[in-house]
Amino acid sequence: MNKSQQRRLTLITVGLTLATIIIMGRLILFQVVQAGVWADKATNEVRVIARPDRGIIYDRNGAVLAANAADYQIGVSPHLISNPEKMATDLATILQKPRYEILGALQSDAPYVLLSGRVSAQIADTIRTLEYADEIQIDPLPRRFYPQGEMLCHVLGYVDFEGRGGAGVEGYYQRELAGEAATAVVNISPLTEQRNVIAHEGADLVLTIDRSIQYLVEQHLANALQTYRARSGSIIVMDPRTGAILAMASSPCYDPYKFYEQDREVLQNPAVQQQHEPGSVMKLITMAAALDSGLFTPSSTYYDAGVLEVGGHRTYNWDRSGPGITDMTTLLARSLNVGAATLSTTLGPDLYYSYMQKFGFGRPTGIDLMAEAGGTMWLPGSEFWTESFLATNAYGQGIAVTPLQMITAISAIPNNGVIMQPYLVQEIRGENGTFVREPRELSRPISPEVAQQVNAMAITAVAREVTAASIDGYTIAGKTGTAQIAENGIYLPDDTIGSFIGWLPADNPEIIVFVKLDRPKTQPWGSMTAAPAFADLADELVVLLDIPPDNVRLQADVMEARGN
Amino acid sequence: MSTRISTWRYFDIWLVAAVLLLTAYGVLIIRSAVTGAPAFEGLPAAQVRWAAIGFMIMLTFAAIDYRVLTSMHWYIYFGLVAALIFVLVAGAFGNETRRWIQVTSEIRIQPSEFGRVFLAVTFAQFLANRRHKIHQFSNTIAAVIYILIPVGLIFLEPDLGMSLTFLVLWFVMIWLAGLPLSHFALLALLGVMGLATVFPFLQEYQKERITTFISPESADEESLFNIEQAEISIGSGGLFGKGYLNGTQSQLGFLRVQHTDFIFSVLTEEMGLIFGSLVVLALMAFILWRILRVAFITPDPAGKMICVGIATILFFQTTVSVGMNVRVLPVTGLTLPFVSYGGSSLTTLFIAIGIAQSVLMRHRKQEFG
Repeated sequence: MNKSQQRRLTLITVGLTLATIIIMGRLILFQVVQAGVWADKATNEVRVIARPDRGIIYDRNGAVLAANAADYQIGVSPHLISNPEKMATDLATILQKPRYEILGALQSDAPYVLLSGRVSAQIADTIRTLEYADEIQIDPLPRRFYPQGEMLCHVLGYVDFEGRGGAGVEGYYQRELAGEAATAVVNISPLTEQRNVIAHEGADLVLTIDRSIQYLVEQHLANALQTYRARSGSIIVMDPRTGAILAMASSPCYDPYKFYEQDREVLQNPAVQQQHEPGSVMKLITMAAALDSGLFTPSSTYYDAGVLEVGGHRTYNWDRSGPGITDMTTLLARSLNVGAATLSTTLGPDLYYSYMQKFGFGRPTGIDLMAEAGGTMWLPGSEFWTESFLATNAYGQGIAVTPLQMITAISAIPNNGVIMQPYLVQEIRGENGTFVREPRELSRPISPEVAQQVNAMAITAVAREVTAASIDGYTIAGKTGTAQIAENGIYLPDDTIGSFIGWLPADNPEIIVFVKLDRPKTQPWGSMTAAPAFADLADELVVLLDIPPDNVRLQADVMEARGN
Repeated sequence: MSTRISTWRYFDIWLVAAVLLLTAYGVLIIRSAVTGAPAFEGLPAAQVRWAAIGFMIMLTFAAIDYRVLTSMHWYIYFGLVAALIFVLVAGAFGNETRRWIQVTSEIRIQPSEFGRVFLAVTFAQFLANRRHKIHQFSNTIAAVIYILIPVGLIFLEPDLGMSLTFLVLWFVMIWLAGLPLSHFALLALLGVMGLATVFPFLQEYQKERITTFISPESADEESLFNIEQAEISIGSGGLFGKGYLNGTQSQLGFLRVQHTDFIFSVLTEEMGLIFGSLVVLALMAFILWRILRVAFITPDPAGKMICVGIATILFFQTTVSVGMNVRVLPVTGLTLPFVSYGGSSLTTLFIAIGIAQSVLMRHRKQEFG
């Protein structure tokens, strides 16, 4: 080591020593010189944040979905206790702690001793029945409570012990629900009440969710998972005319009251945070784009050779058939990949992807839930895009969507070409009045005429090929999808995602339903898993929602017309 | 076998003892900090597990000749840069930042924590290789680029505290390497200009923390509350503290982020100046002395630089972590070495100690006997 280096190293050591002296000086100032001042602050007066009660969450009919309960914190001021021996004996049983530990705390000369940081209301009540209960300080700690248990877990989300919403509606509306805390200097002596210093009360929320429909949907989802031995799944029920979500369920669920016991992944809402390749459901979008472009009409035909090569990638039909000259309705009904790819390649990348963007792919829908994912759609010009995507995206491969994105895009077809903004909260009831949310248009990707043409095709498709999705008395329109699952860039050989999206009554739709089952083991095809699950659910939904069968409704229309 | 015995002869048992003592003390304080928070109840046990893993890793790194690490310093450096890029592209989110790589649902790795230790090693070799060019300005430019790549990536995560740690580490090491004072003056000028351009791009919370420190009146209620509570905790602890698990401030939940950022406040409130602050700071000073001692006795320029680098990291983190608790420095979210909760933090610190041991054990050029 040379001289200069030795000098520099010494200088560093001197620097370290100096900094240490400054910090130590500061500590001594705090802890010795000013000790009295600070100790007074800690025992007598302290600045606290008072948090208002968190707002309540209701369903559309006023049923309570999230409310406030309390855990309790148990503490004592040792010098105020009349009989420490007896108190220690009683509390040891109630708090399940060793007696000597409690007795030691009760006989210490600390101004305040915390005996238990968080106990249930039940234990707090037991303590209140003790004869000397007024010597014990029982302070409430707010805790979110979900009267419906696990129901609607992903949509509601949870609230952590610091009072912050961690997911779902609780997270998205944190500011509204939590209100605004205020601070003040208050006396924290255990014997005085804390003053109330709330700045703004938390607002209550009313959801578009209907508890009965949600319950029905969750039951059907659970049954479907069992029947088709699927690993997980999601169902969304939406009103296409407004974008209001009536039910949104995913399995597995969790208990939001015990959020801290859950794995990080379970806390995510698969319906808006998990992406999958949609598969053939996407053909509805491709068809709508093709018809709206004017390059195709419902009576157009194309030649299906059973294979189409685009950008070096060969597209085959799912059954490896080559049906020759084919019309548009058959393309959809038989779910021909070659046909879908023919449509998108005829449109060309510019036109095709401009439609895909108008349908909302590749970006979040903007629903009022925390941490919505945007899906993945690579566009020409991106380094990840290759020409073959133009073909594969047309039948739902090489593109990833969330279930909510898919149902939102498709909702243009039952709603005359208009996509409504999906939403979950219809009312915010704050201290300054109630804010009522009006349905809002998101985009108009296709014309009303084209929407009706595709609607008609989707009716035929269900009637001809997916009878499993039909129910008595109602006309159903829809489309199945069977998607492969890509893991690390490779498609898994055995596992699929079966999905069905359907709406009814097909001539004047009131609800649209998306059913997605992950990795069913009984059958790989969406038409044999998700489609019958849809039918079972829809059969009961029409009763709950009071949607009359087609003949009753049409007859009533005729009567009304005659009467006038 | 004989050579192995002879190198372990220099293994610094006192250093290890001090580190283990400090870690054990930390576990006790973490236990107090999380009392009453069911979500965090597992942390003390987790910290013990991390310490056990860390201890094994430390022995492993001591056993490896540190010159094996320095000889592949470019691979380590670029591996680190690659990991930092990976974090930005595919890292896990937490508090609106991307700092972690999710390994399993339980385990997350923070590459910048590992990076600060390994950068001390690679930069030491970088400087040692170029020690004859230290007076050339081109060398200074190369050294600046060398540090700005990782620092820039960490800054983007964003992680202000860690970016500063890297910069301080770089500064102290290049100072020791003998960088001419004129170069420092020029760099300082560039630094001030750089800061003026960067400040507008800081994250809201980072700006807020800095402005809170400079003018407390401008702070919002919540951050002001944190600092004030920390002060009351420390001040009211007095000479001997309020007793373990008896701190009114910490146990009543007035303090936030107790088990990481504000652990020092819990420590001093409950254990006081003598048994809390002094014991922890004395242990840390002892550790620093044992590491700097290696820097003085080893003849290898790279080994010297490595030890100074490691001491710098420990010292800087301690100063900032304690300093923000006593309102000498702004809140940057750096952990108190060996005491704060955190798997990445703890294991990497053990790695650092292991490397320092490795330098010490091989400080004789040749072993006879």
